[in-house]
Amino acid sequence: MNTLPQLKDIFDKLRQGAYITHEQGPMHAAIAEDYESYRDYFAPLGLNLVRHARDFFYFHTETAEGTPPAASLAPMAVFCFILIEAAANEGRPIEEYLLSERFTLAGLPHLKSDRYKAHMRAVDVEDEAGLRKLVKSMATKGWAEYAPDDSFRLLRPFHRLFDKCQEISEAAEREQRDVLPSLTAPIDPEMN
Amino acid sequence: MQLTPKRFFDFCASHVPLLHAIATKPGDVSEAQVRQIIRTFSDTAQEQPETTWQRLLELQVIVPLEEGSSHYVMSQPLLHLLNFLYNDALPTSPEIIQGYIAALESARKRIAAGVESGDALSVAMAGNEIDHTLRRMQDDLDATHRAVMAEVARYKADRSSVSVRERYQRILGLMDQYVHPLVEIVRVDGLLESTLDETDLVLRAAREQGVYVELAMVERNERQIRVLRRRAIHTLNESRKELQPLYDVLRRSSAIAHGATLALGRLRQMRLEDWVAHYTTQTTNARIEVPPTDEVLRAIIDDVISHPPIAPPVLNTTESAETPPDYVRLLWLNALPDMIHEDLPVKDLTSWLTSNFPEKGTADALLGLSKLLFDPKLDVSFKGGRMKSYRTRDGQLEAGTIAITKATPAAK
Repeated sequence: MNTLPQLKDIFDKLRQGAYITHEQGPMHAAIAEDYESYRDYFAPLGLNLVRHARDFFYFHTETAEGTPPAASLAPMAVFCFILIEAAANEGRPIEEYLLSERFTLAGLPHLKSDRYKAHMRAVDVEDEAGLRKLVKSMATKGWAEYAPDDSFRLLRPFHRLFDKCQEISEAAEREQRDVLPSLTAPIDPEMN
Repeated sequence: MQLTPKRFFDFCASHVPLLHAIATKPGDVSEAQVRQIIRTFSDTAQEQPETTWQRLLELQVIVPLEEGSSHYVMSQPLLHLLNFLYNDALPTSPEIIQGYIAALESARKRIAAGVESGDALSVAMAGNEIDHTLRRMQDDLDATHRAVMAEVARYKADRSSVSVRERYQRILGLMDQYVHPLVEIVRVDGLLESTLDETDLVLRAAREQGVYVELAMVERNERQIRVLRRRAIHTLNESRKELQPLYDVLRRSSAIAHGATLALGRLRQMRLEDWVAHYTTQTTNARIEVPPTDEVLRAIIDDVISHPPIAPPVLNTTESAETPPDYVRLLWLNALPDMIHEDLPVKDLTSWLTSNFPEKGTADALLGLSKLLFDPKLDVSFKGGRMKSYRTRDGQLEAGTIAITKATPAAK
């Protein structure tokens, strides 16, 4: 018999691919208090309980055993990347702005430019109703907190996406650095 | 008309917004632009625009780019004054500071030569130059500091829609072009410090050898050097401290924005599944119906196969007063190369070992032999020939002759 508090609730939440953040008060407090015990408890099941530096928790396994990613993942990612890009183009301090602002569906940039509309269409989000559904699904996963007045705010797990963006950028820059030297044509003695 | 300070400052006092508007215009301004600025910023009830225009020229507030040109710039001394009054400054480039350092170095050489030849005049002239250069350096370093502070304040207050990438590039420019190179120059073991030290030395020599009688100048220069040394490092470190957090935040923001744009750009170029695998952050969905997963079972089976259980080591828990024999053996082995050194050259190494250490068993003798054979400082050679027998405490060794002729100074 296990004595770890809130174990069932915590497992039920995490197994859906969701995050546990400060917003899940008692559950978060329980894991934060004794993270190692929870991690050791889940490890024999092949579930790696991760504590992010920003103090939220999620299950992550490198080899997902061929399980296809959740269908909502692509629309959520596209939605978030657009938010980030729009904030950057407006010259806003990205992290501070996105994690402190409360957004309304009507004020979102996603359906306001042809380019963003095309990106959203690629993941089957065509209109405001689609956006609403998406934001609600983000709320279930612990990415956002949705209010009935069609407003929402982004939560700490968004930091994972920031980290991912930074990783993508660094990888692209590395790639560019690796490619650049080969652009210089070697000297061909036959040409002289 | 004679340019008198009172007329000049009276005009400036009554036309401050106009002067500031001209000063903040980048580059040169045409006559039409100046007249437009006059209409915008002057009180036409007090003074006709034409009169203002004429007085701008008479008082040399603005000067033509070249004779006869209809394009004007604000005169340099007034521009400096306005920058000072508005606490607005341009950062000083490292090249300018290096120019000052070169000027100090040249003046220092002339003082040194003057002191040696007793030439008071050249010492005085070079001393003046040092005074002037030190003042300008101090002003320019202060200006850099002020410029950086102003830029940081502008960024913090600016909510205009300049993209994150552009902001980052500007901060990066300030850091890379001004702050980092200047800190390199003024740091404790940098170029400026050594020049100031040497200049200080020749000034002292000038004072102590009585070549130059006007001591106030020498003392002032010495004082300025002390002040500059303290302030240069301090102001630039302060600038760096102001910029660094902003630089770090903008660097990350810029990378985040860049990453998001790249990910969006590739959305249409890849299969959606591949895009998700590359550009999203996944969490694991745990299938509660089938725990534990195949992966876990595989890992457990692998663990069992590759790590059969072994008995735990038995620890000796009784304490003995004797020195452990392994430790004694280690000390002996480590000392062997030094011991053989005294007997070099050794024609038969095995013989040397067994005769010098008859109390050692066969195992120890072999260990000793290996230690010496593989010592990188010893020049070992195998002589071949017939096998010989050597007695050890508990047995017999058979080996060909091994010789050590000399020790090489360094490892091969």
